[in-house]
Amino acid sequence: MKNILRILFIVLVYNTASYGQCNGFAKKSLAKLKPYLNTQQVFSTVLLNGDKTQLSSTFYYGDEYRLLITADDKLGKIQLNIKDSQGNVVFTTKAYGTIMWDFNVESTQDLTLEVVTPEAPAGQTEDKSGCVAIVIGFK
Amino acid sequence: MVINSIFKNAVKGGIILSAILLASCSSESSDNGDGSDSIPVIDSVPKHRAENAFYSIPSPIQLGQMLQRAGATYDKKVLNPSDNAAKYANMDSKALNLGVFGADLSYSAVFNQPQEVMSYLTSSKKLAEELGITTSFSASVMERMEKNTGNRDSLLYIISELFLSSNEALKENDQSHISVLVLAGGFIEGMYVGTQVAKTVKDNKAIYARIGEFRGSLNNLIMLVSTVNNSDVSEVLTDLRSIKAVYDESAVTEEKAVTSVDTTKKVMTIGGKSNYKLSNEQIEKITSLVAGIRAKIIKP
Repeated sequence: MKNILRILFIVLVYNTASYGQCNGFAKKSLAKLKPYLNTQQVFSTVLLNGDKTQLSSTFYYGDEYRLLITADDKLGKIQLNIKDSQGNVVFTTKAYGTIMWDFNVESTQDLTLEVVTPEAPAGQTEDKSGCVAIVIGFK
Repeated sequence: MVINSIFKNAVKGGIILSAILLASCSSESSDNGDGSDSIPVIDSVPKHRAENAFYSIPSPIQLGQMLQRAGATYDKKVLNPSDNAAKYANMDSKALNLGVFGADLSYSAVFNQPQEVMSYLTSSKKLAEELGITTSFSASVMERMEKNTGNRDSLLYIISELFLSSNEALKENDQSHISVLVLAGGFIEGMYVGTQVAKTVKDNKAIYARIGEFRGSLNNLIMLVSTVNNSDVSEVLTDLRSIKAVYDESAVTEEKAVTSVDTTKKVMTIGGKSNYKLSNEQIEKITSLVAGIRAKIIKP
């Protein structure tokens, strides 16, 4: 019991440090948005292997968008799934570190951006954790 | 194997524990007030997999540009007078009106109105400083704004940076509820300006079509505001839900999206059709509701 409490304490300290670290992580990626304007919001979180995070947003006809997702390399090849309002996957891609795509919509749509980290590879004794940031630019 | 399992559970348990502690430190309850499950705060450490969700709304600049492209004109009379900045006493009122002034600043910049831009910049700076945001509106940023008053693109860029850094500063200072109020104030002002300007424009169909399309963003804003809970946020949430109820009187029709992708250029187009059309009655109700909510917000 004592050991478990000790582990929890270490993880707690680690995660609190990660919270601030991920804010900085998100801000660094903003420079890659140019010439698009940021939407005045950035989204960042700590994920473990096998975790997912999602962002809901309306994308408007007539606007051009840049989607930028950055993740710690140690998380492995992250996957982006874009889903429409019915939950259909309309686009999917995988990459290490950074996923950046420019896109537009033929009509205004509510979409969900889902970022999935891979399961820990066989033989890896513990889940790795790392920052993931999602930033949207428009023009 | 057993040790690995214990460690995994401990890691996840630690995350849950730290999320609980972070939430308690911010004195924000995760109770939505309606008995439903809580929704995580922006930039939080995930409590567990299923709750790790974020909500994005368009910035006031984006709203201003959309209205401009839809044929909206600039009308200074519909904006909150900048000298009202001195009249807001409590923190929540200051936060909502920082959002309002940020939207008026953005609308003025989109429509190339340098005098109003500087006026709303000063008002925004005053409220931001009173909310404890000291670094974003620095002397060098104010100087950059003054130097670029004739350069619309530069102004829009600086304003985006300014409000992004203000939003982040609030979250880093454990004031996510204030940050959410700023975003809500900006969105409500954008809707107010859109609905008021539409009344003065002869061909206003495209503007009303845009207002219809704001429905999804309104829903996301409601989800975002639901992440915090204090008396003034509850009032804003109730107000936003009253607008949503009018939108919900009609259904949105959407066809399955089909995406065309250029993998070399990393560019894609997401196809599909949607219909967010509002009836005249819905437009009238939304115009009236938004005007009432906005009047309450800007009242000193």
